[in-house]
Amino acid sequence: MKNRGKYIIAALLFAVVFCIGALFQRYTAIIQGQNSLFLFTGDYFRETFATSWPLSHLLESFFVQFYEIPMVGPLLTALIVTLIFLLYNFFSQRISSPFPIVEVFQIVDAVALSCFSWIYASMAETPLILFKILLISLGLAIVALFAKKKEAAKLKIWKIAVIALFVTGSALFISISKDIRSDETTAKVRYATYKGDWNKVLDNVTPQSSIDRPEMMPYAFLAMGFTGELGDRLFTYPIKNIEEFDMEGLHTVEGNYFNSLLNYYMGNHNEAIHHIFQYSCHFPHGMTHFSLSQLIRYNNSLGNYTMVRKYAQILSRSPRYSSSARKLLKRFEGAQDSLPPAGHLSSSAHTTTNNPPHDLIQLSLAGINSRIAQERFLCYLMLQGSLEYFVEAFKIFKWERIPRHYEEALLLIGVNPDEFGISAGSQRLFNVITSAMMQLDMPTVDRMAKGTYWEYHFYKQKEGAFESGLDLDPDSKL
Amino acid sequence: MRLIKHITGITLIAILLHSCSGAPSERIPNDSYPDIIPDYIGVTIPEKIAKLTFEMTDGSNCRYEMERDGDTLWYTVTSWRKGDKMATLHKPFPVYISADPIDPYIAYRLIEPGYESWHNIVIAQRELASYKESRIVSNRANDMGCVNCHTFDSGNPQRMLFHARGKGGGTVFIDEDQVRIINLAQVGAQRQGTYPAWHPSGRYVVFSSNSTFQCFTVNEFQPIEVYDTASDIILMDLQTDSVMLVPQLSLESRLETFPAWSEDGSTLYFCSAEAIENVANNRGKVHYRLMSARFEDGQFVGEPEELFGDDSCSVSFPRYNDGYVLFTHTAFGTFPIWHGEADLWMYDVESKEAFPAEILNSEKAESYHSWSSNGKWVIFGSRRLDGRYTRVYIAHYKGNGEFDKPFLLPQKNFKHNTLRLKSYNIPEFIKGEVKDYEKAVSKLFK
Repeated sequence: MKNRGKYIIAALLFAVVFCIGALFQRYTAIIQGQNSLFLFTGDYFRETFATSWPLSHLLESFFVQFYEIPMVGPLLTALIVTLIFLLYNFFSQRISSPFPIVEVFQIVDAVALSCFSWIYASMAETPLILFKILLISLGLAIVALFAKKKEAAKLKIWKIAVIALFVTGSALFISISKDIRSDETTAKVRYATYKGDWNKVLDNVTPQSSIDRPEMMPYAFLAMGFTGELGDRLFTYPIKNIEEFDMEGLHTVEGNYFNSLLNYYMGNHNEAIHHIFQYSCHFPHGMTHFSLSQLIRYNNSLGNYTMVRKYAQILSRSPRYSSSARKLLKRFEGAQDSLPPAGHLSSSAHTTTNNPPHDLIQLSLAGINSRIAQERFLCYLMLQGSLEYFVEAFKIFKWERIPRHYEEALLLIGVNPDEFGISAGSQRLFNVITSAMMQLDMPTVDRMAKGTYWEYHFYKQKEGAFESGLDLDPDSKL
Repeated sequence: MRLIKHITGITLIAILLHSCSGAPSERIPNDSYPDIIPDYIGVTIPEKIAKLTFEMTDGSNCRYEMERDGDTLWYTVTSWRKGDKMATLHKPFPVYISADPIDPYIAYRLIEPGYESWHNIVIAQRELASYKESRIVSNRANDMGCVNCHTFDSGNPQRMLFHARGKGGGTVFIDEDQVRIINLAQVGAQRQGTYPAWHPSGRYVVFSSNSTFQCFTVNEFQPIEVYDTASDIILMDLQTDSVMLVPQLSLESRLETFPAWSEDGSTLYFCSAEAIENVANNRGKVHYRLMSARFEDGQFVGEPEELFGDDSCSVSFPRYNDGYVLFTHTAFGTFPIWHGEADLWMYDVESKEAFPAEILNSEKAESYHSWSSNGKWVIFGSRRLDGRYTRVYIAHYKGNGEFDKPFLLPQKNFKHNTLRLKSYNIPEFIKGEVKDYEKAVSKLFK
């Protein structure tokens, strides 16, 4: 048992770390993989060796690049945690301590070290700590090679109990930690957005979950733009301000990631590139594997094949992407860029600012029209309370069926419902709310308006943000 | 047994040799020059320059032999594709060596060609006779803030300034071991310094003080326009550390920028455009003229004179040498590196005529440039390789406003130009090696 014991513990540790990782940190690992960079280039090595702990950084980047492949992250993490255990245990088995207590805790100390490293790495943005401890353990193990092997202590029952306590405690901590779960949800939503898996986005960002995490709502609104539900479900989410609709002006990793994808999906590839450069600036080399692959994607959409080839050549220096990058290079070999006509100047080109509704108009004026952009524009007008403009914009687009919230906005501004073809259901509900309001029956108003544009609008009126609102004139058309 | 060992050894060596050379032994002569990247065919280089490295544009393998014949290097290139039975022996191409010496170092800033943010910024130097690149200072010294606009006192490596932005930031002045920071916005004219020009006497520095903004185009070939809404010229006297606004170069109705001194320091060249409302939407109407102003005894005298420009073009980065002003010519605006149409032009001070320096230009942007200390070489940034990442080119100046064909700054391997994820910004010649000021600058921010 004394010899096999450590291998059984190692196998158990591996299995537990892998399972917990696969269950609770699968997408976190994928995003870590996206955010990493490892390149066989002179600049890359120079920059890495200019940091503190360069070897750990190098080792971490090398392994983490593969985390982008689903399930490889948990697998490698489990492997490294197990290695830490084995290496440290090897050291503690050979080196004598002047303190007898240390001898007593032999093998338990190695489990404790690996468990604490695992917890720490799970809570950190990157698993760098694991690689630092791995290197230290490796160093200690090498030193221990020169020491004479001591007689291994027996694996007593109390030790097995303590080890079990450490492992299950760590597993429990990681699986119930609010921060880790929240990070995993963010990662899952991010990855689903990148993949265009809109149902998964909506499964994970629900009206209920958005009460605790309103910052995730922009992902749901983007997804609903694709599923065609924006006009029906926007106000079922607890949105209180126009700023919660998107991540405009948010210069964080999250904001830049979201904005680059949003602009890509809306067809504004220049802005997608702009935001991916901004995003890259948050990382140690000013670039990540994800940025490089997105730059290839966006430049391809723009017809800038010179840049596609450049980024593909860079990616071909990454062990993870070298084969796909080489295939890409072959595919784009000799492809001619879309070039501006002779004498073309950009002075009259439409420009974007930090004003999303204005930017959407510019996009449309530049000839880039998409249903998602149109609907987002209408939503901005509703969120701003610019209902007169909303009616004008609404008339431009063709509708087979008017989404619920648009009907609510149209009724609120007082259009002729028959002229616009507003459903009887919406009209009925509006009449009920109107009469409840006239009777100052606010509980009824609140109950009936729940999850409608009216709820948002009344809230903004109360806040004093909107001037215009429900027309309570009894002579009104309604 | 020994025989088997020998045979195995010889076979292994043969296999190794074959795989090392790879070139077919038979060569077919070809009457044309090889299609190489970068295009070094017929360029003029200085005597002391790192070995030129290149590769075939179509990705085929190549090797070359080089022979010197007087002031000409003849490169004979053999190229072949994998699996070819015969290689192509190309017509030898010349590289001319100029007797004019060149400054031994250049300085530049390395930065990602992004838009608003950055990660690592390094002001670096490169020894021209080798591939050695080293740091002068990086933005790790000022908590990842921006470091920009490095300028040397007539190429003196011991006397330089640059801006270090961020908390506690300002303009860093280096005079040998003395490193100090001055926030120009808190002294004298209370204006921040932007583009600097060090007076040849070493006593004065003029800065333009610019309020700079950006707008982003929707899927246009030029993705970004950088523009100023206001800019004036300020003068700093380094003897007294006083800073003053130059009234005649700080008109409210005009935007004055890009100052540059004549060799004797008696004239300041700069650019000036009419200030207009809503610049982002009217950016096509912003046309900077080339201007000059007289400078005597530490003061600007008289009214500035308009030298060149009209409403069809815009002038940036004037740099005087040998009776000519080399400048960047664009259709409009003030930030040429994002303008595909940006080219280098020469202005003849005597004849008052301007003309494009054709041989220096490409279809992509040519932008920032500066002269060597002897005025025989010019260094400039160009995006001709890929349209986004600025690389450094050097050209020999023949005199009378004419240049020889420029060459790309040689790297150990041409691929370095593709793989480097940074742009070269503000290339400047320096007369010697600059010390690493990282630690000294860090102390200013503690």
